[in-house]
Parts: sequence; C-alpha cells; structure tokens
Amino acid sequence: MSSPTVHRVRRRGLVVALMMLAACADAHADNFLSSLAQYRADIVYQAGQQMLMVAIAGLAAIVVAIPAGIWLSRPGRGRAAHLVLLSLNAGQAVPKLALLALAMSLLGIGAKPAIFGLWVATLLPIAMNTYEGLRAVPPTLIDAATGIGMTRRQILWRVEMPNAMYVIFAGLRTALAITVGTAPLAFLVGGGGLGELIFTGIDLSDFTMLLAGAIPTAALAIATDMLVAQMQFRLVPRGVNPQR
Amino acid sequence: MIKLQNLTKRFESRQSQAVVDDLTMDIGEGELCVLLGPSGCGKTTTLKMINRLVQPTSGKILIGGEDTASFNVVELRRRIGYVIQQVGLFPNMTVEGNIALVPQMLGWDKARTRKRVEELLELVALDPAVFMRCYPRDLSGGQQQRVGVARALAADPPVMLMDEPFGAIDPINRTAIQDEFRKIQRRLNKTVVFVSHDIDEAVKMADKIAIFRDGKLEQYGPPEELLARPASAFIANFVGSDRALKRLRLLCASDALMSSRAVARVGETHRNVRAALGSHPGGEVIVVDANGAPCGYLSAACLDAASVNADDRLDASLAMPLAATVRAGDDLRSVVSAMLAHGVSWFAVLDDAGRFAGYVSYAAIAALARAEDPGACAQAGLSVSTDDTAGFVPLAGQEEPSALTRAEEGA
Repeated sequence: MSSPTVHRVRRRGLVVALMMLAACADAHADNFLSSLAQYRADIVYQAGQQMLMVAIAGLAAIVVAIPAGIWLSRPGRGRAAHLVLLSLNAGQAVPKLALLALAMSLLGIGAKPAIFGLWVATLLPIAMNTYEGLRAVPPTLIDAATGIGMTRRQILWRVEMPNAMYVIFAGLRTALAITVGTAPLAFLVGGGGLGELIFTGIDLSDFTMLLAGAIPTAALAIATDMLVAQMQFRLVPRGVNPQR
Repeated sequence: MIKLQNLTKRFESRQSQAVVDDLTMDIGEGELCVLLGPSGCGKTTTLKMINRLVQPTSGKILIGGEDTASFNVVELRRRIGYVIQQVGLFPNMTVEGNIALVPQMLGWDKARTRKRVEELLELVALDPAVFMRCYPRDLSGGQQQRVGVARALAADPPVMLMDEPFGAIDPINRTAIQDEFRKIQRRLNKTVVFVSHDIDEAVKMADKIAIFRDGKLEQYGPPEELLARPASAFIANFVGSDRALKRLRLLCASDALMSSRAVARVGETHRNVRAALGSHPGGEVIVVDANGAPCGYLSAACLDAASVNADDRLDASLAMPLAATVRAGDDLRSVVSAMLAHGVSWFAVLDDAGRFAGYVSYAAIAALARAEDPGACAQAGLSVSTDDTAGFVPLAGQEEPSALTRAEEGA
C-alpha cells in the first residue's frame, strides 16, 4: 500500500538534511555542530515531551480507531461506514493548525489540546486502513471459515484480522509518521515539544536554534516510520506478508 | 444418511420464485451424490442448506435421523466437512495450521492433532515433512485443494459437502485428484454431497446423480440409469448427445466379454485349429501358448497358405502378431477408441495375470450400448458372452481384407 504521507515526511527530512548540509558548507562544520550542541539538554527534554504526546495520542487513536474500523466493516453497516469515513475524511481535511486552535478553545492551553489534536489527526488513517483491510479479505475465506464451523469471533481474530494485518500496519505507519511530524505544532497551544526550538528560532531568526528543533523532529519521524515498518515486517504472518 | 424433506428456499429479493422448490431426496450412507445442473438451478443453495450456511424457508434436513435445525449451528458444521471451489485455505496459517483448525476447535490435544495432520497429508499424497510448514501461497492449485480436502476430513466427519471442488484445477491434475478422492471416499465410507456442472465428472464420480432444473429435482438415480433412460428432453439434452459413449465409460471390457472357447493352442493339431476356426464365424481365432498368454492370431487364409498337414502340431511362428490387446478392467469407451485407432473390430481381452480371457467385439459393445436400461444391459452382456454368433462384425464398410490385416498393412 502506498502511503504518500510517509513520503512527504521523508521528503521533509531530506529538505532538513540539505539545509543542514548548506549550513555546514556555510559555517565551519565544527562550529555548527558545537553550536547545535549547546541545545542538547533542550533537545532531549523537548523530544521526550513531544514523543510522550505522540505516544499518548497514538495509543489512544489505536484503541479507538481499530475497534471502530472493525465495527464499521461488519456486514450490514455499509451506510454507517460510509458516513463515518466521510466525516473522518472531512476532519482530515481541516488543517492541523486550525484543529489545534479549535482544541485549544475547547480544552484550554497546555498538553491536553495538543494531544487531542494529534489524536484526531491520527484516527482516520488507522480506522480507514482497518476498515479497508478487513473488507479486502476474500469472501470465500469467510465462507470457508463459516462452513467449517468457526464462530464469528473466531473468524474475526483468526482469519480476518491476520489477513488484514498488513494493511492495518500500513495505516499505522502513515498515521504515526504524520503525528510525529505534526507534533511541533503543539508548542503553539502551550503543549511544549521541539516546536519550542523551531518557532523560537524562527522568531529570533536564529537558524541554528531552528535546526536544533527541526533536525531531531525529522529524525524522529523517520525513526518512527522505520520502527513501525519493522513491526509490520515481523508481526504480520509470513503467508500474508508480501515483504517476506 | 441425509434426508431432505420438502425443502424450499425463497430469497427475500425474489419472493415470487423459489430457488429450491419442495425438494425431497435421500442420500444413503457412504454414497457420493452429485448435484448436477446448469448454474442458477439451486444445487449450491441446496448444498449450503445442509450445513445451514443458507437457512431453508421451509422443509427439513435430517442427518443420521436427526433434524439439523435442532443442532447448534457451529457444532453441526464442525461435524460436516466442507470443501469449496476457491479452496478457501487461510493464507495466514501454514498447511498444518489449516488442517489442525477443526481438531483444535474440538479441543483435541496437540499430539493427537499433529498425528492426524500427518496422517491426512499422507492420505492426500502430500509429504508431511515437506508440506506441513508451507503456507498456502507456496502450493500449486492442485496441492491447495488436496490440503482443502484434508482439512475437510480432519475431524473425520461422516458427511462431506463439496461445492465444485475440482472445478478450478487444470484437467490433468483434476483427473488425478478425482480418482484419488473417489478412492479415499470409498475407503473411508464418507457420505458426500458434491455439486458439479460437469456431466463427465458426475458420471465418473457419482453413485447417484441428482439433476436440477429451476430449483426442482428433474431426475435422481445412478449414472447408468440417467444415461440410459433420461426422464425428460431436458435431461437428455443436458447429458449430451454422446450419452451412449458416456455410458460406455461406466462399463468395462469384462462386461462385453465373449466366450474364450474358440482358441487355438500352441501344440494342438491343425485339425483342431481348423475346427476352432470353423466354429467361429469371424474366421479368426486367437493363438495362446501353454500358459494361456496370447501370442497372436490365425485366420483360415493364413492356415491355407502355410500348407501344413492336418496332424501337424500348431507352431507359434504361424500366428500373426496382434495389433493390440485390452485388459478386462479397461472401460469400454477406451476400448472403442482403441478399435477406431487400430482399425479392428475385435480385441483379445487379458485378465490381470496377462492370460487370454476372451474376446470383446464391436458388435457386442454396440449391443450393450443400445440396451435400454442397466438391467437389460447386464442381460445383453450375458447373452453375447454365451452366443458366439453375435461375434466378429467388422466395422462399417470393412470386408476384405480383414480388419486386423489391414491394420498391419498400415503399420
């Protein structure tokens, strides 16, 4: 399954890396690295803060979106599924910054609206891929499973989910990569995170400070994507894993 | 074993017309019953009502005397093997996982399940050591359906339902898997309901064939009966204009066998050989050696040409070689086919030990094929085997030289 968002995140990472190279060429490399190093404590602290928000929002999204995707995929829910996915799609179209502003007006300032906003942004790709993954399981498998006497629950957990797993993981990859990449915006609603370095750097026209926030953000997004890709590779059974 | 009583199914979307209409039929224990008909005739719906994948609108289904409606539907299905055309192996599980599924659900312990899986793989001619750990995607279509059959047999169900199980397999593998399945089914004495739209498959596999048309049972009986006495023009049309040929496949050479008395034995006097030839209107007799194995044939003409004394002993070198022989177990369709291929009107039939068992002639086969019903069929077979005058009628238009000599000239 292609995931354009992941590519976008990767491209963002690439741009940052190029900027870094340009900076290196401009200033003396040692000079640049040592000036980045002065933000080390900030980077570590803010990255931790940011990843915690991502983890909470991501887990909450998984807990909600996967069951929602399963529920929607059950037979006879075609219309409901259509409406729910339509509204999730609409939600996805709202710019993340607007989403955060809305969340802030509801939940006040701090980490809470940031986590809420990230959670909403993560829901759609997971729910969507769970739903599509389950619907793509061939009906003949379900016919065979029913015919040999499996219960509906057994069919879901032993046949449908394993066969949809690859697509569900693809959704997770997309969702988490977006979330990590979007997380710096949390700073704008008082949620902290690497946005603090990025936006302060922009305001002060301090290029080094900006990069001290941007480079780790890009690195984290790429690392998250790779981690989930590894999980996808290892956890999806070999018989239904096109990579193995 | 399986009784369908006044079974009817109407789908809500098509309330007016019943998909299966007041169907009543019995399937005996250990029988392989093929439900046959054009698509949309209700055969698959009937099959799926047996394991309640489709709920009947009205009517009853009894398995082993018990009403299936009284069972828990999941329990019921675990007691019925189910094989579908698309195989439906679970791609996320290994071959072992697929076959072990039903035993696991029935709570078998690991050792017993594993042993059963190995046993079943051997039964369907797949090496457990090679295939247990494979995933379905590693297997060919034919191998997958073998695993599908093994999975259906896993918990040793008395009844199996098969929905065009071999329809998607290439012709060569299909023939092999059909033969093997028929053997397995006979050996394990399974009652099988088998949906097909292929008359040839049905004739080959079935103990009984049920022909459906628009949700109604048109005719139900053994294949020989359907081919010999189609109950309606629809069935005659469905079984095809070559039904006489199809029937031949259900008979074997021994059914059309004629007496083996008229033979010339090596070492006999020529006087006796002449007598044998005289008693045989075809003018050709088979020459057998001391062990009863045929070593050629003789005609009056070649005996004349040999210019021997009546008291001389028959020498094997006088016999002319046979174009071909057939085995007693060969089906008559292939015998006729061989007759056409070799341009002869009779064959010597050998028993399993390779000894001469008798003659099979075109005339005798034709008499069998014309016989109205299986009973009469057997009588016809009996009468030609005692009455040698029904003997060697040459194939149309062949008079001189004899069929066999012509075949040799050609060779």
